[in-house]
Amino acid sequence: MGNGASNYRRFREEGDENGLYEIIREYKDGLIFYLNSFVGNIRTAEELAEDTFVLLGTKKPRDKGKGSFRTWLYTIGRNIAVDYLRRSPTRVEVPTEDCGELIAEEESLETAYIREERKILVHRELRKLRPEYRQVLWLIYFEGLSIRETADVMGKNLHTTETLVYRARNALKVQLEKEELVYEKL
Amino acid sequence: MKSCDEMAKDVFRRIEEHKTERRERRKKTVRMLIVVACFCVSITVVASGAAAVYYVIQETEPQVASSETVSEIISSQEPENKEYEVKVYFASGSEEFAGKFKGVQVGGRKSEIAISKNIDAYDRTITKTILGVEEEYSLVSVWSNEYSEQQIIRYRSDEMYKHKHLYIKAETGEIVYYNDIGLYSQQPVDRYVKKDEAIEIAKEYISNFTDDDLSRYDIKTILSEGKNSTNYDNYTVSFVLSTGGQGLYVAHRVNVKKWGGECYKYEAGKYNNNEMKNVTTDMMDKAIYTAEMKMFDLCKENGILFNYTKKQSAKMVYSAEDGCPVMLVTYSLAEDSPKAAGANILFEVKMK
Repeated sequence: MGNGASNYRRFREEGDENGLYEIIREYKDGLIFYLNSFVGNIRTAEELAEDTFVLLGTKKPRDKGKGSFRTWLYTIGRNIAVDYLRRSPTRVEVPTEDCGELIAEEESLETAYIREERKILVHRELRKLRPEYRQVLWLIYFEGLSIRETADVMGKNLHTTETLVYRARNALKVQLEKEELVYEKL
Repeated sequence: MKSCDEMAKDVFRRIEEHKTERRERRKKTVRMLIVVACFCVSITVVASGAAAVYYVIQETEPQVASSETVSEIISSQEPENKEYEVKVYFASGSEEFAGKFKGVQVGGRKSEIAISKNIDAYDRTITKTILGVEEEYSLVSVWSNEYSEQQIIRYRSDEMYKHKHLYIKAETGEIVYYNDIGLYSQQPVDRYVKKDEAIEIAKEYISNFTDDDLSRYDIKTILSEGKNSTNYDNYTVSFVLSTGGQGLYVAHRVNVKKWGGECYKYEAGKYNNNEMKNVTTDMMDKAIYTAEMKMFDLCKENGILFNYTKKQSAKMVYSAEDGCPVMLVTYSLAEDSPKAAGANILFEVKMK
């Protein structure tokens, strides 16, 4: 468990900027990956993650403590991503020459954040799934959230989330079989 | 990809920019509020000041009865003046007329100038805030009340229709009287003098009059219009130099007290105003009514619009010669313009 909640309280109530710095250090990469599952562009996801931290610093929303700090932070990030997609409904065209660079950046982040070779391979197969499947599988298998927490972050009810997890897992299995990969945690 | 430090740096920079922007927005809002508040306050001040002036003017505007009103009164009542003997004085300031009284009111624009020569020690203008309105007042005159031994300085604002006056005790600077009663302002006398001095002052003023002044004040000229056969030899024609001269009904109250009362008191050989016990209200009303009738006829004959408010004073006295009660009623011949100052008619209605 991270110290997100206590760091945020330190920043919000005592004005200690180190609190926010610790939050950025602790949650930056995971948030970027989660947001990447929305927008499908690692740079955009990074900008949205930065927007999320700026919102914490300017509006200083109150964490009601219903779930973990991570759940709450990801919910804010998700809302920002939804706003972004609403404002930019059409897909962002990425120039061909930038594709290699983007993939390289993402892989670099994978290495730093996911670390395990096997997990990194599975994560790469997630890109081929629908965004909703990507999101739910990322939250459960990579961030370690419960189904309840995942439902909270995604703004869905428990039953819908369970169904979504089931279908996403089957879709990932099929995808891994195509690539002759086996992931025993599924 | 940004490192953790880079992202944190960018995040804190953007937070700072947001704070600065918010401060600027607040400043702008406060400035706008101040401007709006100042505007509202100034509108309120102007409106309340105007309302105050309007109120004062409305409250003090003389109620002028029209000649039609007087005609109605006359036509509705049968005059019962057979037993009265009426003498008419055209009061315009002669030595003879002035000599009848102990004191002559000395005033008018000329006297104000003359008297103010003696008060160079005082500032010519002052600025006072009254009823929330700051205004500059010019020195008009200084007068001494020989009874109370007080010296009063009078200042006046120059706006014609505001005609504000301040009366300030010379010794203490205390405002003892203030008026703001529109065009028809009350104007107490500048000072009271004894008989001989009054005659000298009257002579001096008459000798200083220009042709324009004479044509303005000459009652003969006024009354001759439309009728040339008036025999003025039957009347005593004189100049009365009254204060400011308008002498409209607001002023006549002062005149009743100071002019009628005090003046006759010293004419012991002719009138005695200490024996009023036999005079009833009814008798006074009849005498006044008789004078009004006479005034009305006189004005009608000479093509002058009779204005009820021209009555300046009414004073009941007794004749020292035969003990008969005498009603003295004074009218102003001034038309609506205050320039026709100083022209008065004195009716002496003697009861037989």
